[in-house]
Amino acid sequence: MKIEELIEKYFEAETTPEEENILKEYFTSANYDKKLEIYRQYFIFLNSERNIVPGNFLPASILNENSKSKTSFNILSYKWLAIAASFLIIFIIAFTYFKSNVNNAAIVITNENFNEFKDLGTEVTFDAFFKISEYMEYVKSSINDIQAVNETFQILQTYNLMNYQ
Amino acid sequence: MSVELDIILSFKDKMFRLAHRITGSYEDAKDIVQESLIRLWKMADKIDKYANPEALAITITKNLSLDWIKSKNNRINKMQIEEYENVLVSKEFSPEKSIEINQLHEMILKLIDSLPAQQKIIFQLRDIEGLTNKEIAEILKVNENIVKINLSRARKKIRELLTKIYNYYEN
Repeated sequence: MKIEELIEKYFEAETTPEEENILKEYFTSANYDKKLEIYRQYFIFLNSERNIVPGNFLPASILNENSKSKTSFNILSYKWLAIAASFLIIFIIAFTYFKSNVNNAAIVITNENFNEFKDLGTEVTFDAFFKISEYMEYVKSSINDIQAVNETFQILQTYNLMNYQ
Repeated sequence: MSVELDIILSFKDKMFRLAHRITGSYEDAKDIVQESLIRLWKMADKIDKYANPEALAITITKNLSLDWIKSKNNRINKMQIEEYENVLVSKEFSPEKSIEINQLHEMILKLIDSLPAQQKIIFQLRDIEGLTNKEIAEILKVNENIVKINLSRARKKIRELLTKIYNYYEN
């Protein structure tokens, strides 16, 4: 199809996008009919309009929301990591301190808190006596054992004396 | 940057050109596109469910631009083709009849600005943005034949202007 025919078709809005591309290519090339210069200017105009860009602008709300959603995870992660680390350090210090002090802890019983600690004191005292009696039993059995050993040695000594005399 | 934002931003230039074509103002077009982008962003989580997100973006921009025209009652859109014809023979050309490309482009722009809103939008979407008649019909919610008729009218008006310019400088 001749270019003039395509031009007619174009202004009747009968051209397909492919045919319009042929026109665009024809008029933006160096080999065009000089009689059609005015149409060339028109197609150059269309091309220049197509290249208009607004520059980089973006609504602040989108930018903020996007950056928020983009960085929130990282910020939160660091935040939670810092909190978790702080708790861990506090727990370790507290645990160490408690452990080192719990054996040295002493309860001072005064007139004011006597009733409060009376039962506890009784319980602790009984517990202590029980432990002492247990210990005494252990000592007693140990003494018996020592006596038994001693007797055995004496028997053996007697036996030896008998044999080597 | 999220995938949704990438999709939305890929339409930004087309949206701007359409808003600029309809409003005739760079600043207003920028505001309209920003508003359109915010609306699209609010729909971002479901944008991939749209068969043609670009058509959605253009539709939002077109509607906001037309609303802007209604509210502003822009003077540019009230100008008639005859006014440009008067300009053609009186003020804007040098005595030597040497038309400059910039002048010609300016005149075509003014003529396009003077077209009825629907013709202007159809011309912009078809001849500048390269959308098909079917896509334009979908955006404007009109019959494809309406698109074709309006496109033809718009192009013929431009041709009329081009012919007048050509004849003026040839004689």
